[in-house]
Amino acid sequence: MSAHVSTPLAAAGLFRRLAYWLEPRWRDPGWWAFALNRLTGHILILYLVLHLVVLSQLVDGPAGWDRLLGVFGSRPFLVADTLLIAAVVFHGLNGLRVAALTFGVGARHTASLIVAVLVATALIAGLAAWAILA
Amino acid sequence: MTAGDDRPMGRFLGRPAGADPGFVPPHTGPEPHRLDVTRRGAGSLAGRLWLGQAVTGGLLLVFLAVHLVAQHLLAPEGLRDHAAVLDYLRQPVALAAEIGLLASVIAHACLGMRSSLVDVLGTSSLRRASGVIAAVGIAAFAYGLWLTVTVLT
Repeated sequence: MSAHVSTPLAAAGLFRRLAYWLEPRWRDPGWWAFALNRLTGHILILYLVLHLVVLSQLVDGPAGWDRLLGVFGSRPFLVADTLLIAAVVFHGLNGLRVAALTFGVGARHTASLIVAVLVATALIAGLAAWAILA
Repeated sequence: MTAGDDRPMGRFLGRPAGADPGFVPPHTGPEPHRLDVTRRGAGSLAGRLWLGQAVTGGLLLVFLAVHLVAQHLLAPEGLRDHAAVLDYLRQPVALAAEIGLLASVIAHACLGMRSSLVDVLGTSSLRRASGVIAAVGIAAFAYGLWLTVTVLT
């Protein structure tokens, strides 16, 4: 953006670009997969930051860390863990699909592969939920 | 396509005027679009960054699988206490896997953040933001290494 553009105009352009993400028209399955991939990516980045912060408790020795284990084992945390696993699995499987697409693999079957990714995510996340919560 | 949508139909002749970031035209050619990253990635910054994201993503699959199995599936009750964490990290292979995980996840996250900003920032802003993201990534990796060394010593 050139320097002579006023700040309100630049802000309006930024708002328009951000608002585009809320526009549901003209979307195909690939776009929805892209949007979900980006959403899960941002969630995982937030989790990464929290995880690194929480790990600092290891420095305090057993008193600091072992006290947190009770919190990590609580029901709300375990439910959040299963949602996190679903996000990780979708992001990973969809990433593999996109990487394959780059080499021309699966380009003719985008919608089918996205459905396969979603089904596999549901199955793996369901299995993880059963293992964690049961 | 919807009524009132005046974007060009048929063969894609370029980015339509006024198209918003993220707009991807439907493929209408005889063959699926193919991006040969081995050639494309050799020349352009975007291609090299994409290749980096793909490589770190692949490494993540391996390191994250090791991390989840070792730290959660094999641990009693799914979580290691302080002593068990130290025992695990004192194994050279485990330590290398954890540091590999730290490096690959931070690099992948930084590249992902940058690619998100490509859609909303101009060239100069993107360059500044990329510098900030790189600095935060390096700081996060240094913090992770410091934490590991401090805990082990």
